[in-house]
Amino acid sequence: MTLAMALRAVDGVVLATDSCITGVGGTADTSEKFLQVNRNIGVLTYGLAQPGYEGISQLVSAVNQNQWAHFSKIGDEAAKISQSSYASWLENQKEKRFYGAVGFILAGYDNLETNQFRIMHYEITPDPQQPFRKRRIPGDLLAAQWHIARYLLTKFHYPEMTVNELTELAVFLTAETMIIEETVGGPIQMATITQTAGFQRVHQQDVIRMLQSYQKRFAHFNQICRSIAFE
Amino acid sequence: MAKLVMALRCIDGIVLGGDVPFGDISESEDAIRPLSESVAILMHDDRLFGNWLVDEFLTSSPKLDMLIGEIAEQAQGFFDGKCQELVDQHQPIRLIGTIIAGIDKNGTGGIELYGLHVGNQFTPRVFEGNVFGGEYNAIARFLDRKIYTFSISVDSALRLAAFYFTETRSIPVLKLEPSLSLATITYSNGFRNVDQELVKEYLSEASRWSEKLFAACASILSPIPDSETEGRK
Repeated sequence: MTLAMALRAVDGVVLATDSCITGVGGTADTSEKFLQVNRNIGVLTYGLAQPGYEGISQLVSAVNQNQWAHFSKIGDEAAKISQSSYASWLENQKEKRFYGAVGFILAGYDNLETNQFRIMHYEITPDPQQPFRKRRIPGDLLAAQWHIARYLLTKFHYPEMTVNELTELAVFLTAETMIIEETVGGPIQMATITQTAGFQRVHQQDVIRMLQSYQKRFAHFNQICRSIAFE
Repeated sequence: MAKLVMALRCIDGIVLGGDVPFGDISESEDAIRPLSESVAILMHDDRLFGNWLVDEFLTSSPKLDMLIGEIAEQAQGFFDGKCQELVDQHQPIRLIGTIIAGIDKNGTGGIELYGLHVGNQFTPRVFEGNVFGGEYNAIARFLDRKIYTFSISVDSALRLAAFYFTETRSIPVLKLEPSLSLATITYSNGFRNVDQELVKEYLSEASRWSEKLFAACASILSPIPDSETEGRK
């Protein structure tokens, strides 16, 4: 599993995920979980790493080859590509057994149709009742190991947050989740999407700087939690 | 469905908690069942199926004056056998996990906690710390890591359990049952259910803690003066 999120700010969207990959042989912090689709759109994946990465890679290739520009078109194609890449991956598995889910989050600025920031969520599950879900997300999206991040978001998020503030908060949410969830870990991968700058990857040095600058806040939060009870 | 159950170690015993439907519930609907004076079992996920398994287990007259590890092994054999019978009858097996918790009066005299889950044929897993079960246990584990101390008493841990439940329930999409069942196993009194009136008091107190936490969190995002954190370095 992983922690994947797309958070809305007043001036853009923040995408964040960890790098942990979990398999039969254990875990490793090596998974590449998101890619830039075009100037204004990014895509990230969670769940089964191999079909997930194949799916987002195929989407980026298809967008480049076909010069798709509209968010709605890319969103529709993402639904088809995510399903077909999962199906072909499943077909190639020698062991026919129950496999987990794979999810995709497409987010970005729709500058051609709605002039809005948009977030789409696709999830393919082994559940025969609902093998595929496609949803337009009006608010923030947190997926996979999301419970702790959602809990903290209810404590710390306010609607006027900017992309910069939300980027720091996303680091905090991910770092706090990593403490508890074994399957969330490794370097935090992040990107921001704004109207003016489009998709911008957040460099690892900046993530580390944010983690360091948050140390006092981590300590303060721990102190508050301890003092709330029994005082 | 029981989405959050927990067993918290204390210096004077164990606190057990689980989400349950509102109102008076019969013993066979509860998330916590005593197996003996000093041992209990908690059920998460399909609580009713779990209670059926426990009823059948108790009807089979198991030996309960044994080490808790041996009780867990007996339960494992019985639960797995019952599920195998269901498979043979082409009946569905429900998602069920259990926690066997107790004071090992016939062994070390210490607190012992075992997790048994249908996903691995109920093979007992020993837990050295506190145990949380159910689909929505992450927030409780998170808060426990922040707040819990080994020197906690049963009285304080009951309040903590109510706080973990209240905080988890504050997220609307995490659909816990609306009420909380609490029980204790202490060295002095053995297994005791906590009266629902007292549970309500704990929940009221937990709501006040929640409000305090929410208010205090606002200060986290504000710049913190160095002097405030120096004492903890």
